[in-house]
Amino acid sequence: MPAIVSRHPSFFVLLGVLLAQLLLLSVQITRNQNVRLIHVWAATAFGPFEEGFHDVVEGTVQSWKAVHVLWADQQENQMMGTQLVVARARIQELSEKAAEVQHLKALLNFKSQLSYRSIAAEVIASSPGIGSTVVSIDRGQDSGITVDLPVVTPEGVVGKTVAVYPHTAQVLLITDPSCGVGCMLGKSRLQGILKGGSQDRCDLQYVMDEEKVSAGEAVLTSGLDQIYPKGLLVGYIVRSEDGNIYKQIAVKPAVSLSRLENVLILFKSRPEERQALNVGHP
Amino acid sequence: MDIYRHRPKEVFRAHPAVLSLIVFVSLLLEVTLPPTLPLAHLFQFPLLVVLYFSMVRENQVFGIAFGTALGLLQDALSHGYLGQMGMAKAFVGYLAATAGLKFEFDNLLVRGVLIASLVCIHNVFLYLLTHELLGLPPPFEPLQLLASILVNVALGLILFPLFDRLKQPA
Repeated sequence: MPAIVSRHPSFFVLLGVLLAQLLLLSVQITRNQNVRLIHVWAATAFGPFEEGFHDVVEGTVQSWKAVHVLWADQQENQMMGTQLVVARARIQELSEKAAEVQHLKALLNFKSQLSYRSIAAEVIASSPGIGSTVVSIDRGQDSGITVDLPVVTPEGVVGKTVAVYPHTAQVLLITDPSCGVGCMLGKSRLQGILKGGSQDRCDLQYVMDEEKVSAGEAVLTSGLDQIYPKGLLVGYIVRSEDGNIYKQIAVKPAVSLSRLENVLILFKSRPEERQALNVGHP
Repeated sequence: MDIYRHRPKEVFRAHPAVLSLIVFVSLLLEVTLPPTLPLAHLFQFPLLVVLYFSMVRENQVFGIAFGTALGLLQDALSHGYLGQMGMAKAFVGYLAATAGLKFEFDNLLVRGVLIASLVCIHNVFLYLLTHELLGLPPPFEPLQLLASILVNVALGLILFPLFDRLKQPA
């Protein structure tokens, strides 16, 4: 028994008696529509604890639910992240395909407008080294390709075939120094020879100093080299200066030769000439 | 005048039959006198009985038990709730027994002061209990309280010497 109780037993007896009689009174007295006072006291005493316990339980349940929801959200987030990556890759792939479709459409339209028979080819490789001026295409002897066939795109002239293999061929670009294209200016009809210069420039030679040449003027094929048909766009004059006898004219190719993907090979020769060269039908 | 007791403890008691008779008479007077004597509603015979016999017995547990019993009986005879008077008389029974241990009860002045104090404590305790539990605060009348104290002090000073003849050593 605690020391304080043993020192004052009568006081605790008094407390016990008073408490017992208080309980007796609480059973008799009613409040609030005949609710016994003892019920009111009990509800008042236990109410805060009941609320607190309920809040703790509710809080724990809600926390568990929140954790579970967060975990589920995290899983879903990860899954959606993966799906997003896959979707983006698919979008990129479809964008590439759409761009290719547009390009091929333009090529097809261009081909339909040509008066020459043509065959489409895909650039599959370029020769190694910086400033490559030779590309490989996926058409060869089996498609009826021969050497010295003009290669073009809807933007303009690319070059000509210089080597043909059973299934592939090589195309010499117009920027190659050994490549020459008979050209004429679009407005003045002045004629000259286009020679390859650097990777993105050509030189139009044999134009007299006296002639008037303005920058921005279109350079077209003249057809005099017996390779390229007349009237195909080669490029645009970017600079013209007087030289000793002939002008020094720089021409920027109309085609972006560093981004070739699909090209057209023109069969400008007559069918009997092809027959004589013993080239198979594509 | 020395009001504190210094002589050895002397405990008195009443014969159970005498005590029972005194309790019965006090309750009888409590319920029968007021209709015939208007001043009698100030009399608190049961309270005086509890005070006296708790003081002479000098046992706090006895004071608590005796006060509780008499108070419950008084509640049973009234239209109030059981336990109202029981609590009040248990409390003053305890205080009376404690006072009996500490003070010289045979002194008249001491008796008067003790009676006045304990009657006041009893009535205030009862008022507060009724106010808190029933929620209908009875009007607090200081004059009535004062009158009750004076009347019961006078009554006590008359009755206690009579009770002295009935007590016997415990």
